Amino acid sequence: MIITQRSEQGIDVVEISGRLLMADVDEARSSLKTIVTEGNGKLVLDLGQLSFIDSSGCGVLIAALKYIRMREGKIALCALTRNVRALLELTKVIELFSVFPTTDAALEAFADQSGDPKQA
Amino acid sequence: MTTAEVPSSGTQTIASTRQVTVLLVDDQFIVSEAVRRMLSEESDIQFHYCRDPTEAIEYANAVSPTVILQDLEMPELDGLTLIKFFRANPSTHEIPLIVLSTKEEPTVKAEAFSIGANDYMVKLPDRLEMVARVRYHSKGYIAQLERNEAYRKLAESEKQLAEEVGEAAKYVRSLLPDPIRLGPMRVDWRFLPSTQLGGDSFGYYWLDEDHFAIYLLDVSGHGVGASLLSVSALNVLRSQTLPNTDLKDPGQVLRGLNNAFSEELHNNKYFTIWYGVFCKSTRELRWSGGGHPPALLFNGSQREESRLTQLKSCGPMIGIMPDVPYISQSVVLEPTAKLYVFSDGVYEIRQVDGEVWQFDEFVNYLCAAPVDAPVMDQLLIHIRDLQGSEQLDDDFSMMEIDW
Repeated sequence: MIITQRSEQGIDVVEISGRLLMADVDEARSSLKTIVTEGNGKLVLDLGQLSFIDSSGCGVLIAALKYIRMREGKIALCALTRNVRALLELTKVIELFSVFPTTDAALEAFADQSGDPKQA
Repeated sequence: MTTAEVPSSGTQTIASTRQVTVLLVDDQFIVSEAVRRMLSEESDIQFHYCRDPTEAIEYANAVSPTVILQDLEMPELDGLTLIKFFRANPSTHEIPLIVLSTKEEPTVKAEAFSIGANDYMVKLPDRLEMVARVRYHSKGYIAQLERNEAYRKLAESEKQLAEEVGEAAKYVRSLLPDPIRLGPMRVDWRFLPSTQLGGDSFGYYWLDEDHFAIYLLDVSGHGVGASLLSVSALNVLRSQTLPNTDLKDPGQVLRGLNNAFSEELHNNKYFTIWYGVFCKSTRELRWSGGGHPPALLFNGSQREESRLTQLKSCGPMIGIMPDVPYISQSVVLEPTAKLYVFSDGVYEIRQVDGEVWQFDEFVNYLCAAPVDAPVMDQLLIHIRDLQGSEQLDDDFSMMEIDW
């Protein structure tokens, strides 16, 4: 698993790539906590290069949601791969997030105050 | 420097010795005096002298030196033999040993090193060199003792933790109901807690004469904390104390649990649950799931013709979002029906090649199993094969309900 972060239009875009498994959970959760704490409460998780996720990895996304909710911020997932979407649908976690096909679409929705991203 | 020539009567533990302590074994008293003088200005170095090499082991056991200096030529015992004795003796076999000899031949030096000496000085070295070597070897040895001590404490605490986890696993197991082997509805299960404890628990019981409740839950994370939370949720269900909740309505039960635990769960804790209620008179099975893998129902007029239905969750995990409108869904059971309820530990298996076995593969495996085969036992064997070890990474919890 590799986590990279960039800022676009004042929004934190975090790309999680590779595989998000039990062994990666502590590192991923800690990175996201720092990013959310230091950011401005808007987070886009780009999962386009995330090839696989297990139940523990699913917990990382839930943790990110909780951090954002504590800040009363907004969070979106984008570019879900087939495997990742399958698990998020199986566990219904997908219903907790706004999901976009691309990062640009997520950023656009964030930019528009009346846009779709759910108030966490 | 402090001097002690007589072995202390008590046996010191090696690990508690932190002061640089030199033991010199040499039959020539004059050498001992020379070394004593060299070290005399070093207030933190304790010096011991043993003139008789046949008493050297006993002496070393008593004073626990951090470095041994020894001669090679002594009338009572050959110095090379003494090195072997030091190396064979459990309490001295790792203590740095410096040979202090008049012999300068490379072959002698090589032999001394080959049987366990750590260093070699030709009599008598300069005071600065003597002090430097004594300090160098003692420092390394003391650091090694400290590492050993830290490792021992770590191993002890790990053992204690493993015992606590074992106790918690035993407690969870004690709360699980006995299998139901006879009657129109049989229930069997397998529960194998992982070494870390995965937070699984489950139960089933008659709510009244017509309604039978079945549930399995899995708390996020591992360890005693996850397990205790699992037990806490189990007890809420068993004690039937959820306020304003009809336990025959799975959706209500999940909403009740979510309300009860949303405020209580912190530190990224939540749990998944599958909860079903079977009505004997109507053969209707109602269920609801929160973030849990679907229960698998094989339903048919005959065993051979049963079809698979996945009884999926209708909402996310319990404890992450208040006011989730969990609903109940239902299915009518045909004359022969078999239901599998399980946690993700039965299919999220990290295989030998690093790939993870997935839910769809698990479903295919169950579908391919012969009718009336001991599926749970065969599955256990299969996943152990897949991961190439007996010990599972996550709890294995699975119930088989047979109508």
